[in-house]
Amino acid sequence: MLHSEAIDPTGVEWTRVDDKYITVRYISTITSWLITIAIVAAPVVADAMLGWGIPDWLKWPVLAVLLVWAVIDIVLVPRRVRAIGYFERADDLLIRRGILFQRVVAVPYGRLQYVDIEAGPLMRKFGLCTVQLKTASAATDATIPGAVRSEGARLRDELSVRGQARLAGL
Amino acid sequence: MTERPEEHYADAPPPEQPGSTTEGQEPQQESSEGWFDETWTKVHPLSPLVRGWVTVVAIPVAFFSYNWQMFSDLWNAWQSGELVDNLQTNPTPYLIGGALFLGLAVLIFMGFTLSWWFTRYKVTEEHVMVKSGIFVRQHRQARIDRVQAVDLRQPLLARIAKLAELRFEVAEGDGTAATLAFLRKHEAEQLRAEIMDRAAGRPPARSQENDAAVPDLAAPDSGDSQAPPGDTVCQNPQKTTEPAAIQGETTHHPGGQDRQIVRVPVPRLIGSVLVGGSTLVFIVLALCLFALLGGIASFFVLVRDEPIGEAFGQINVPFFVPILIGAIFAFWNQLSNGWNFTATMTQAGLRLKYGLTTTNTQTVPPGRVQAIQIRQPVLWRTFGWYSVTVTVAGYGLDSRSTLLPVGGAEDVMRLTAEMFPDLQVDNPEQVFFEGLRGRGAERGFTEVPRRARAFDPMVRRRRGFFVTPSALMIRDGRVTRTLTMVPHERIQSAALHQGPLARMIRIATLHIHIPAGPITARAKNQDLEQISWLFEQEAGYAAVARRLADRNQWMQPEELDEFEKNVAEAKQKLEEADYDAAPAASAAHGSSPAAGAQQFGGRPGAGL
Repeated sequence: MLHSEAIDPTGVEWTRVDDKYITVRYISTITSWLITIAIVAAPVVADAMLGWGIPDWLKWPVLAVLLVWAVIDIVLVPRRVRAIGYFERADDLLIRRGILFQRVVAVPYGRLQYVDIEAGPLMRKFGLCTVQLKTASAATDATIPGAVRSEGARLRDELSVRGQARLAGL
Repeated sequence: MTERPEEHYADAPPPEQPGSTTEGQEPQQESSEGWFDETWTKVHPLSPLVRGWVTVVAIPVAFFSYNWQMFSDLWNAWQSGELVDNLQTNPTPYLIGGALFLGLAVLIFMGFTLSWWFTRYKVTEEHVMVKSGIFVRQHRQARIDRVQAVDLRQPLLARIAKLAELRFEVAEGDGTAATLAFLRKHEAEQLRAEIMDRAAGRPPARSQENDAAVPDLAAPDSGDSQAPPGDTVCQNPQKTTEPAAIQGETTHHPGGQDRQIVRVPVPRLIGSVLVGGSTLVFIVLALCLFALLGGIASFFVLVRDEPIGEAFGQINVPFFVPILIGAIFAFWNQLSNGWNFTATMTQAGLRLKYGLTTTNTQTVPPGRVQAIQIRQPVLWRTFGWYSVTVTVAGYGLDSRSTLLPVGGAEDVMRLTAEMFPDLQVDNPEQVFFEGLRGRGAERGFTEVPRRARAFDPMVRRRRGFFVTPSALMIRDGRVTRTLTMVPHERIQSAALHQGPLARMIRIATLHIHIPAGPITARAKNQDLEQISWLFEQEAGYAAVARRLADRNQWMQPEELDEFEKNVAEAKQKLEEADYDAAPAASAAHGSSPAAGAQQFGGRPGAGL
């Protein structure tokens, strides 16, 4: 359970996404940082071997900043994942995310055009999926990443039923 | 996903198209007889000429503007008589050039003619269908009850030939759903009127024999494929004189007659363009450029010791040509999009007519307006001018979203009254003008709290919102004032955003999500308590709005009854669903979650 933040509506008990999603995020974050650092470090290595003459005052600070940033980013992963939550209310679904820059979105069931469930290879390996809600507005950015697959299916069906019920009353 | 979004709503496939795809490509082996039967109509035979001439003219223009030098050489040669001499002594290269150009022109016209031959359309009771393409064939169809707007466009040559292009817009489309270019103008007008009527669900005159009329329309005069579409579709001449919809939004059509709401006089348009926002931008750009060049010149004067006159003498007109060209284009666009602008309220909606060389006629039904925004650039303030834009699903960021290029406060009031639901407050005018011009929290609107003045030093007292029973009004902007109004029932979803600094001083920003268009609705940096209240409020409205007010076919009397019935059913279903939730979930467990797009069936033609 998440503790309630200032912008969270009252009386909401957030459902957190699965803890396995932290592992997934760790893997993808670390991988992308490794790639980034490899790309940045390549000239430094080449410099050491071929003597390109990249000045020291440039290469070390850049690498250091990058490393610090990467460490912070990776350390924050679990907190970021734990900040993701959703809650089904009678008429709409609330989704929150973010630690520093927080966001709560309310998607009314009656506005749902369709619900997407997708899972990449990594997510599938951990039995997770991403539930994505679409309305007629492209601005609606409502995704629940890292729900357990059964929970994703349950959500989808639940939302469908509720959406249909709402939709029937056009 | 490649399929068009409408497909999600398609209920029953139309008889001739088993897949019910809105945009499908069929294999080539089909003979053209199979591809079109007699029920399909060709567009007007002059269409290839009207469509092709621009391309033909564009070739030499592009060629010469690319080789500007060549053009001036040619001009000099012509002046000195050298060209004529050359032509007489050695005509071969000129002949080859001419022949090449002619050949190209013929090819282009042939291409357009072929494409004309392969373009057929058909209007049935439920769909507008267009088949086109020579090699890759395309079949597009738009559900009439999903049509958001039908626009009529007449480029210069089409005006001379009395032809017009029809464009159908559907919601969620990333472009125009279907284009018919070109039809005879009166046919196009008839067709538009008919389709708008049906999109609105307005009971047509033939509703008594409705059942009998359906099969006739589904297979329109199969004997005569060349019959003008107006004849196959518009079978009720008294349609235009029939009093506007008895049920539904009678407020929009008190008289049922066409009433002119606004006209923009040409001098006012020119004035507004000259003192408009783009003029400011260009002046600022020119000044920046001047400062930059001046800086460079000063550098030469100070560092290189060049004489002042010479250094500054280098700055002359050519540097400013790009800005000038940009300005001319921008001004031209604004002028031609507002020339002879008139807005007339008709039965089908607000009819806008405008255009300098290309005339446009578009109809915006009040029920399709998702949001409305009134703007006033700073220099317009002295004249009391405003412009009005709307979000209509399907128009996207098009210039067609302009409801009024420039007009006085009275014009704006009248337009808004027609196109926007009643604000349902005691003093609508006062509220309206407070939103347009006022500032401070004294008269209903909120403002950014004083503790957050560092966030919005300029616009603090303008930036706020006001909630009426029917709509959310958001005002903003100190230099360019804006007032954005969104009916509660149009809100798709809402999101509350808050950054770390904002959290410290207890403010937040509310984003209101509406379909894509020129308008973004957000109330920035409002007091946390107020904005949380608004968030709850709007989320609640959006949740129930769909049940309360769908205006998909906003004129249809049955719609209301059916709606009541559905609400009752929905309630029941929901209760059942609550009990059934557990087994349903376990049953669905087996379905592949990998890439399943669950679509909501519901009723077809789900509105926004």
